[in-house]
Amino acid sequence: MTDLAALRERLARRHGPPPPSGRALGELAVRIERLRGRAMVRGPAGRPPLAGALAGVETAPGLVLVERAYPLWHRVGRVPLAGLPGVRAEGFPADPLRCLFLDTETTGLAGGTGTVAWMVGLGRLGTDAFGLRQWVMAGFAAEAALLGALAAEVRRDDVLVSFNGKSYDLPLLATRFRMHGMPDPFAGLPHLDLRHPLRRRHGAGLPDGRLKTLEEAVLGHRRERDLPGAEAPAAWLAWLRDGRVGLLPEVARHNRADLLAMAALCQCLGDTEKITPATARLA
Amino acid sequence: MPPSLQSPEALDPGDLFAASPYPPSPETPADPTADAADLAEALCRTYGPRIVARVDLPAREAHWADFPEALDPALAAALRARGIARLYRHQREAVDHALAGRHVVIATPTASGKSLCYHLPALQRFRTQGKKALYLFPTKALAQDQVADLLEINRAGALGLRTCTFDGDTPGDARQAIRQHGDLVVTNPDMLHQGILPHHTKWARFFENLGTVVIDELHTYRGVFGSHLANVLRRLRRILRFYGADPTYILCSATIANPEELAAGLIDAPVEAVRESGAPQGARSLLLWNPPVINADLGLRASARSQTLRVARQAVARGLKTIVFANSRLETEVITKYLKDVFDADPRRPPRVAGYRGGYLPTERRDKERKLRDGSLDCVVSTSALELGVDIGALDVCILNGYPGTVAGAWQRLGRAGRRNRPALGVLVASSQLLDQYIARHPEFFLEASPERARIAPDQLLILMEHVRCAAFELPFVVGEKFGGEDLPTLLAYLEEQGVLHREGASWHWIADSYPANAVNLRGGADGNFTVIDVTDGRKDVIAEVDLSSAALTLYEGAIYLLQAAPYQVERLDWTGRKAFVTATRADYYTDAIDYTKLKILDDFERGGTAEAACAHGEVHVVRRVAGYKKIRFGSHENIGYGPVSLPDQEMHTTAVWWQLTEGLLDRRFADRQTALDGFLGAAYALHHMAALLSMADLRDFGRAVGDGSGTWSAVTGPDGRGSLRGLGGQDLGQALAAPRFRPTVFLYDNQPGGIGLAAPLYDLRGELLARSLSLVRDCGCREGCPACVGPVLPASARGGLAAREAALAVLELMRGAE
Ligand SMILES: [Zn+2]
Repeated sequence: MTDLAALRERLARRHGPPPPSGRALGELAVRIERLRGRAMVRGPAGRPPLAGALAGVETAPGLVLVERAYPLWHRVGRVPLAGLPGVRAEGFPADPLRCLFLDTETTGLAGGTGTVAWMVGLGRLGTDAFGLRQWVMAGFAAEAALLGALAAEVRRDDVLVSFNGKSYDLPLLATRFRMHGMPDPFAGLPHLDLRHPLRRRHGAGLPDGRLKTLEEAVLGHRRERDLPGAEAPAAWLAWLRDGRVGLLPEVARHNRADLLAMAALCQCLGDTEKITPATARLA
Repeated sequence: MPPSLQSPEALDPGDLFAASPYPPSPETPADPTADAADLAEALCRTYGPRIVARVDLPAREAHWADFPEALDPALAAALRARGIARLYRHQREAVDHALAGRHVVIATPTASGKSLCYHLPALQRFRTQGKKALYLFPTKALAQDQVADLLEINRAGALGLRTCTFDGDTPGDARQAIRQHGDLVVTNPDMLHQGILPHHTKWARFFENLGTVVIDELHTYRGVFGSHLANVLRRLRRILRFYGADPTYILCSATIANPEELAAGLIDAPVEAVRESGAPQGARSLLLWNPPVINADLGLRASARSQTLRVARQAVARGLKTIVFANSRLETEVITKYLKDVFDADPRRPPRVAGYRGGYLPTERRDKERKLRDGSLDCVVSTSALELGVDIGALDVCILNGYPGTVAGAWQRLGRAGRRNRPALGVLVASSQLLDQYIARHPEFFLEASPERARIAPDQLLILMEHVRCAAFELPFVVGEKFGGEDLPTLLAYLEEQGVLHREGASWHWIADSYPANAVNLRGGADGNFTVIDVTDGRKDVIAEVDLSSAALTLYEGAIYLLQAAPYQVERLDWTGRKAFVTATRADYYTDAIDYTKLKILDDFERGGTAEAACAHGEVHVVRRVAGYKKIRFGSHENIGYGPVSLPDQEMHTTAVWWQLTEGLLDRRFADRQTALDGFLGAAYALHHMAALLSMADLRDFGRAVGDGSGTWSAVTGPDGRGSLRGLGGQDLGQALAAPRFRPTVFLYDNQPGGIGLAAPLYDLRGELLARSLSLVRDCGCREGCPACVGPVLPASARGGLAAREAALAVLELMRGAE
């Protein structure tokens, strides 16, 4: 067997026609689109379009860094971020200045080694602002650079704060670090996963325990034009395949909104939550 | 397959209700000095004419070897504490290979101490190098048994090996600890495929230090399962390369013709073989037993069961530890009940007889195995559930109630009887079925034929493709990598087109939001099994599992589904959800599906013969439809009604071998085409059985059909016992008999979608296949045809025309022209 057409025919004969690939474009058109997309990622002239579209900068080949800072008086619904630093905020479970907020956007929920975190947002409170950094991969080749950038960001005395990170984001990142033969910088950090504490304290009567639901109920904040997180995989896929920036800026905004909501929700836990050290993950 | 061709392969349900021909009678008390050799003599004296062959294997002495010099002292001490002061020669040989880093396959008989061949290297590597080990067993029960030894050695020597079982029952909180700290992980291929490889990063520490991989029960990995496992192992090796590990593989097999070839095919590397057992063995006799003819006209013999019971009663009465193997759960139950009536009539005494089959709960089975080992049971009646390496200790007598379908399977079961210092006896009782009778007439085929070759086809495109998907999920593929025998870049390009992979530069990345391993079932079609759920009186109990290929024939709405002799009626079939809801019933009938198979030749790969008589193999399109069912009364077998069935057609592309004759040839040989058609149906029946015998295979691994090759009609045996031409919906196409073009064709097709590589080797064997089929039909003791040659037929007087056997013989002779 030497060519794809022959294989396709053999498979079709044994198996029935192949499932639709989900793209309406003709094969040739798809190839052309794809080629164009690649050309744009590596575009030699000027700033790559992805960095431009996300208002970020390319810090390594194919890796875009988006930085934002929110003043401490910024409110998420009823709750301002300003309550956090300086004076130790009531109910906040750890030194707010040590908190490292984390949220990822991935290629899916399947788990295992075949899922990639293509956007990782980290948030940190300073004395005058809440700083957000998001790294976005323009392609798989940038993953090592992304992981390296994350590792450089972590401090030894950080307290990790996530929403559902214990079962989702952190194992996934641990897998990615292991795939690249890099030590996992998050392993061993104390980790506050807001999901269960928030649900215990505020979940009664809510339809579900999702971040957005808690954000509306607890903070009184309704997001405008928020892209559902479930659409993130498709958005990156469209970019990969066809080089369309498409919804990527929306995903970045959604990721930032999640981080902001986490920071605000941190103040609504009560003082009963203890931060337990994260269990050691991969060696 | 037409229904009438099927019935001889199934147990006749009418038997359930027939009174036992041999009522229980008091037995003579046990003679403590009697052994299995005495029983063999007594049987030969009394039943000489029924014993068609006898083989005596002399006792064999033990061949010993010392422990390897470098053996860890603590390990050596542990072995001594367990009463093992030296090794059998084959154990030492295997250990030497493994410790020198050479992959090795051990193919010595049952109960020759195979597990020590892998425990020892695994423990030695753990003790001296801190290396970990992975054990793969096809089933849980086996894993438990083989690991029990290891645990005892470990305990005896305080060796510090942490052994963990990782399977579907392992609780979530234990999994983390196993991944992190397990030194020896026991699992099965399915778990490796779905639970471990796709999460290999969590196992990084384990894989980095992996020194030994053990694959026991190698002979079970043939056909579809073996082809899948070969690909799972390709994935494992890819992951191991990623972690820089290069373990030694130790494989163990029961008797098959080609252990080295199978092992090397599975692990894609050269393998040393250890085949000579150094374990001692008492003398053994094997009797091939054919029940006496009770109706010469019909060629009817006494049932195998009646003979099995006779032998079993004598064996148990003599105090010999006995195992009886039956080929169905139902038969197991019936034989158990009869023997219990004889030997366990007194409720105050502990039972001497027990049944053993797949449906019992694990705890019950463990209990029975223990009682067999410690000798408190005298007799066990079992299905193939006990065929594999489950440890039940040594037995004196093994009786096979019917040929189990493969030579290897028969030897493996017979191997259950055999002690180190006492004689043992095996008795294979032939049933009336074709293969049994063939072996009874040609004992040399069974006794001298090398056991079956276990074949795998790891590059079968559909299977390979599934695992390329899984592998891509586990690690991106890079340019220049190899995986299997097909052109990998083309497969990857196909998957890219399917939208599951994304190529970037020199690598292909998994991009779909799915977990591909979950869609692949290693043990058969990806479509999965049906569960049968008993909903009687609001219950909701899963009582059985049925594979997809038989579901359409047994679980249609209205069907009577028999489970352990109890009839259930199928109330509702959820085809897409793969569930059948049944209720217990008192129906006095059973049902028989009426199905039609249409075959169309797509492509012939090779063709031989003449313009008038051709044999070929190639690709075919198969459509099967179950159009309805018959209700048949138990006992009298009269047809008491019909029911409609509405099920989706089952379609597949697969490979086949076929024989086609032209109308010119047939018209010259036969007075009428109807007789020719009858001959084709009988020839197909004989060819099908002989093909299974000559290949490796179960009857079910092949489908058979008689059609015209272009999918217009197919032939089935009608209620009058004669062939009739039908369309897919069952409509009568009898007019095709008179058409100018009439080209009946016998198809034997590979019953696995895509084919698992059975057709091409069968084509190469076509000469022998035809010769054996001819002699089978020619030499049968019946007059007009019977289930042992051309299938169940009505006598010619009732059918009119030539006897079915003569017609089949004529067709087979014409087919010889196609060689
Ligand atoms: Zn016959």
